[in-house]
Amino acid sequence: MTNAFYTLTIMAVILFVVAYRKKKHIESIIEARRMLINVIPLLLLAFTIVGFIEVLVPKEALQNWLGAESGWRGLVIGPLIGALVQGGPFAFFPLFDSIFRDSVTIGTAVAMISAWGMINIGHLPYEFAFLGYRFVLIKYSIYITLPTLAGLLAQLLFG
Amino acid sequence: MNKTMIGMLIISGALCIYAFLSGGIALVGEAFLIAGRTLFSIIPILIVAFLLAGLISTLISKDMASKWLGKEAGWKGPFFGAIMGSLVPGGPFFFYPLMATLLTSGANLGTMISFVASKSLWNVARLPIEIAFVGVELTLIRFLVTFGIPVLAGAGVNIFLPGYTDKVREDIRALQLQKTKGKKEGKHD
Repeated sequence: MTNAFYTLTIMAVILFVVAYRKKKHIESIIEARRMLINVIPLLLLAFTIVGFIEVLVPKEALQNWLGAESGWRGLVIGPLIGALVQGGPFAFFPLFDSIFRDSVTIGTAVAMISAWGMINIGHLPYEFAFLGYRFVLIKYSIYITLPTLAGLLAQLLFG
Repeated sequence: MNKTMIGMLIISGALCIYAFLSGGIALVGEAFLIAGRTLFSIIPILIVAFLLAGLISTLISKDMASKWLGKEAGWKGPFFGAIMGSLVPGGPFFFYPLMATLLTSGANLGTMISFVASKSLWNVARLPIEIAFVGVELTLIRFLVTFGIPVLAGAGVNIFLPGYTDKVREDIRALQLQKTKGKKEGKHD
């Protein structure tokens, strides 16, 4: 979070200087304010949904679903878990490290990490709100099998 | 109030009832507490992110977006989209609105599919964290195996679903129009 904050700040400062030179800085701030005000209600709802998902999908249950000897099931259940776990990299990677890393195969691990990034259900509220249902349908119909395939490939090559 | 917001309200309502039934008022409270904590922790980043989004939206001209990310870019579009996705930091509340801006400015749907895949698979800022917790070997394997996905998925969409760029643009415009309309109606009240 802190790294993202600094990176975004640096990028914003650079672009602000560019905008200032083009005399577009006031316009940019007005545009930024308009965009932010527009999304505030959506953000409040999105955070509420994310909060509920977090309390309703307990982390201990996730570990039980997977088990130690899940075999090929890991390639299906692993991505499912990855898609359900909420939070940014600072929440997901420590969780993965503490619960799953030592108990899953390489394939399951790759499938799970890929699914967490690619088909995370916590992103759905934002995707519906900003890009519409057709984008969501296209994106998920393409992405849904990819983490499993990536996991399978990793298992065959490196397992 | 638009359809998306009504849909999200219904989902939060249903989740709220489910949480109440399975854990009582304490669990509902915990969910709201997490929601509030998440919101407060991201307020600074949110302000910077939207300042950046505003700057990008006024500085990126339609010509630039269609040249680098749209039809004119051809097969290079998904590649540039993927490079951009790997470099742009920030959470979903930032990059989905950014994708909407880029799409309406002229970027292709497939290019944005590359962008969002690369945001999760090639993400430069996230690799150090992944290495720190998951380890170098597993991160490398994960990166190698998923390396081709962003460009291939985006190129696939541009080749097989060329008509959907305009349809998704219509959806975005409709969503934005509803928001502006809602605001105007609010002002009259």
